[in-house]
Amino acid sequence: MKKLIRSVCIFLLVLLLAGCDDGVYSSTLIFKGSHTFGPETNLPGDVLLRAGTAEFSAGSQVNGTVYVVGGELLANGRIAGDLAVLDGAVTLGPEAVVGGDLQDGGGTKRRANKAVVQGETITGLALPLEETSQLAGWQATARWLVGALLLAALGGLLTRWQSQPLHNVAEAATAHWLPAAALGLLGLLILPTLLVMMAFTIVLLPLVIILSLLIFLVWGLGIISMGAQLGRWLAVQLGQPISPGWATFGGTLLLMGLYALPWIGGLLLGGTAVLLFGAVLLSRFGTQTYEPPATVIRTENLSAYERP
Amino acid sequence: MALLALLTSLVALGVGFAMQRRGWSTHLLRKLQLTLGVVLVQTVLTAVAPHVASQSHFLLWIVVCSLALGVGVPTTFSLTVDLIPVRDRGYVAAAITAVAYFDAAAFPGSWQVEPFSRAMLLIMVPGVLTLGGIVVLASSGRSFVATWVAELAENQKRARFGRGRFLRSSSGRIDRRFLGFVALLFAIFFVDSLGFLRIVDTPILVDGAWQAVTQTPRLIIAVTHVVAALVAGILYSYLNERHLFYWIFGLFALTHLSYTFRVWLLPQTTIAALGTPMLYATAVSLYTVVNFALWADLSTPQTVSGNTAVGVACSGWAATFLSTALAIRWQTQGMPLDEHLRIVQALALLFLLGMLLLAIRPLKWGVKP
Repeated sequence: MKKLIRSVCIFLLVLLLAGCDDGVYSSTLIFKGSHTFGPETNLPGDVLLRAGTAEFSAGSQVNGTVYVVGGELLANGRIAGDLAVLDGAVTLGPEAVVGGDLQDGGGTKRRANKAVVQGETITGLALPLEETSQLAGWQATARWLVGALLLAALGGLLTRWQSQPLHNVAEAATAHWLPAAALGLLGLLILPTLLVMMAFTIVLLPLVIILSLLIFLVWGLGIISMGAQLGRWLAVQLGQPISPGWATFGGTLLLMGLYALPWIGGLLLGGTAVLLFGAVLLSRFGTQTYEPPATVIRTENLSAYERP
Repeated sequence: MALLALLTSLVALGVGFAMQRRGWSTHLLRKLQLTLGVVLVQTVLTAVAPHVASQSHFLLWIVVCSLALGVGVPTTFSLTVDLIPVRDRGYVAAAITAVAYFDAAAFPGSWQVEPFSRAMLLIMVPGVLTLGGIVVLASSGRSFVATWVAELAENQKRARFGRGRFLRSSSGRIDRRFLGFVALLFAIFFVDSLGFLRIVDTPILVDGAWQAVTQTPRLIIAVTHVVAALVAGILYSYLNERHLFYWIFGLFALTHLSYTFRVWLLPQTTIAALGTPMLYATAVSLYTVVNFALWADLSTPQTVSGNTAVGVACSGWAATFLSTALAIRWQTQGMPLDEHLRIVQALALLFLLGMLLLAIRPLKWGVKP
């Protein structure tokens, strides 16, 4: 019980700390009523208009994206980001400037001749994916190598200090791969929806960050556990006595190398992500050894078979 | 509908306990004979359904339907202890769930009596003929089928068939733990029906999903049902009962939360977003698998018919009837859609929270974790 209380306290503390940082994300939500934003208005983040009326006068500035999912928007100022319209009525006045794209997913729109959309006008609900700058050549290799080395080193250290959780996760993933995969599949099916829902509430946005961090930790724990198993297996195959820490280091590095292979690497990563996610849940983050119910243990001893 | 629910429940309870008292619960051939009778009546009912033209005929149709269902549930569910080993029950339940939901979602046809009747008869007639052949040959006692049925009848005497995995006491009779499962299943059926009845009545929520004009969205939902059923079958076999119910209530709460946001944010827009329907399909497949396998796993061969009757009548039918009546009442009173879904979501969260509290305070509540 003390452990539970301590965990809850740490969780609350992290939550509070996450909420302390000012200016991480701010937005304006309009659910009803009539709102007029004068020329001196300078809103720092996104604006979501769900219902009611919002009027942005000439000279006003919105520094994020404006999402219109209902109600009426009269924009005559500058919108630095995109203007995404899913429903409702939007009027762009002669002084209106949209710095990003106009995403037309529904509703009604009126646009003055002098209104400016600096980006593209996109019809439909497909949101444009921002092109991320892909590192190429030695930069990408160096980045991968640093990440893999760090994870492998963490694995080696964990094996020295806390090897039992890694063993529990690896055993759940290998000896009980079927329930681990099933649980992983179910978890990964639900997680995206859960994250989106939490983000929608705005209030739970800090929790989204914590949950995302938790997912990363789960993934890392899973990779290291599997790396430890792989390292031990390799040591036995090679007939070389290798210390558990170095075996984990080598195994994790090898696993990361396999993930970097073209085509096969992606498939392998997807498969092991499902398996390891389930294994981590099944072993309760490595805190206990998963024991299947006695009813599912199958005997290989054919003498036990009895003909009716 | 009240008549159907009440009569079916009473018949199921009566037949279930009568089978238990007379020892038919452990008599495979008798159960097969009863099943044949039920399937025959249901086939006739399906065939005559399009021709029911008057209120009195419809009332008679409902009464006969109730009788068939009431006899059918304890009879067919109790076949589990003869035919399916305990360790395979999750997988078998998953296979049944997957096939049923795939067909329902992928080939919905027109939601009218005539096409339904025609489609069902295509499956029911061959089924009746096959079962009829087995029962007649087994009852005659002079064929290889009779030997085969006699061998199958011995299965329930073995521990791997006859002792359900959630059984704690040796008697397998109804106790507090059993009633706890009835209450949990009641809550699941209640939450599901209360929400889904309103969802299917809201075109913006179903036009892009279950009733989509194009085949693709329906196929995606059908495949989700299959995958979720297989996952549920595995998890039923490997997880303990408490964790299964956490997942189910959690999923229902998340699904209705998702629908609430959808209605609240985009009240008039028809967007064919399949994320929430897929989540719903997952939750439904998960609990259907549990419902198929659970009652036999809480019983011995002697008590399976009575236990199943209590379980299905008091959880499934009672909950579905009550929640359907409530949903219709709320709708006719003009309750807004988002408020309706918010209550359903709150109920699911409440049940989840209740289970978590039980897990934290096991001793006080008399339940072992």
